Amino acid sequence: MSADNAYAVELKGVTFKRGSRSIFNNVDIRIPRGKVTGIMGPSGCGKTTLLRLMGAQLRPSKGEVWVNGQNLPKLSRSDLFDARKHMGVLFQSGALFTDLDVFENVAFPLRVHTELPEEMIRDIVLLKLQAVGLRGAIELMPDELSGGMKRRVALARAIALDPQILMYDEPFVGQDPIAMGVLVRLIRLLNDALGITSIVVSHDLAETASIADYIYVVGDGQVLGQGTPDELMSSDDPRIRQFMTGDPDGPVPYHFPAPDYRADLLGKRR
Amino acid sequence: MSEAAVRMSDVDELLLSGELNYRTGPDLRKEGQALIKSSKAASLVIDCSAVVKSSSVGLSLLLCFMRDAKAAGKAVSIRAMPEDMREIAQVSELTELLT
Repeated sequence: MSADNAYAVELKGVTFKRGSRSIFNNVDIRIPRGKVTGIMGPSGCGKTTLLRLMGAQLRPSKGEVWVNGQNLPKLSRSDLFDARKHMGVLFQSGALFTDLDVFENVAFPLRVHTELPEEMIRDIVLLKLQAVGLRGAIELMPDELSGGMKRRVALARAIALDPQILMYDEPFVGQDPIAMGVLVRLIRLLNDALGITSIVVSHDLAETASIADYIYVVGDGQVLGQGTPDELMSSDDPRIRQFMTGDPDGPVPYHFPAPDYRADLLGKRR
Repeated sequence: MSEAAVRMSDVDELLLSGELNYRTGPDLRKEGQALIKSSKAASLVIDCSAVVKSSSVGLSLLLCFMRDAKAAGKAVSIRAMPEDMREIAQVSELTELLT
């Protein structure tokens, strides 16, 4: 068992490599149970990779990934299948099945993971769609939905099995302000009312800071900082400050490394 | 783990107990349906005071039993819904239907 039951997810000394390139080096992250935890950092820093490590879609090169008291990389395939029933994921793209209508998209995990009779599947699908405000859309196909509606249907599907842990991968990307506001409210509501542990991976600072109880800032293959949104806002660390204030230049340079400008323009031509 | 069960009491109350989840739901559905069908009482009380833990399956069971009672012409009421069921009901805007 994991050392501390106060944490739903614990990454202990996790290193992850793609080929010889390190994406994460000896990272420790603890996600408190029942809270909304933000994982933030610039695009391309490996936030989604972290989520995939937590869901055991990826195996760490080194270290332990504890979820609900189980070290996922050590589980058998069938135990991992069971463990994943307690984890919901809202994918960045929504990832709805384009050839299934809204009802069947939400019913899908219930059909795969349970033996509930059809009338109970229908009840639960309607309950989940009512929670996200889209019960009236059951017969629509994904291509008939707006981007915000797709995200909400995907959320209904992610909570179909009443997960203990819900992971959101860039939930606010490409959403208009109204859809964003709806998602922010839903994430908080589901977390608080259902006692879910929420992990929000995002680079949208304002929205994430408005709902997160605690935030990890990642970059350069490590945890750059952690704390409440207020603590991070007042951080003295220049790397955190640059991210939290959105400065174009700082420890993360504006310019991609390049040869001397003068030499490039006035020197010998390539 | 607490074993789930449904039974009819001496005073014709449907007693739900244990954990109502995706594993226990299918059998509870069948057993509850049979009990309601064989009951001669004019009304049905569904008592949830012995429910230890519930997912959305618990709410679906209540809805199933309500439909069964309605089909049998029985008035139905729900007693002692535990907190986790209330919370899911609230998020799904179901509270009014269950009171």
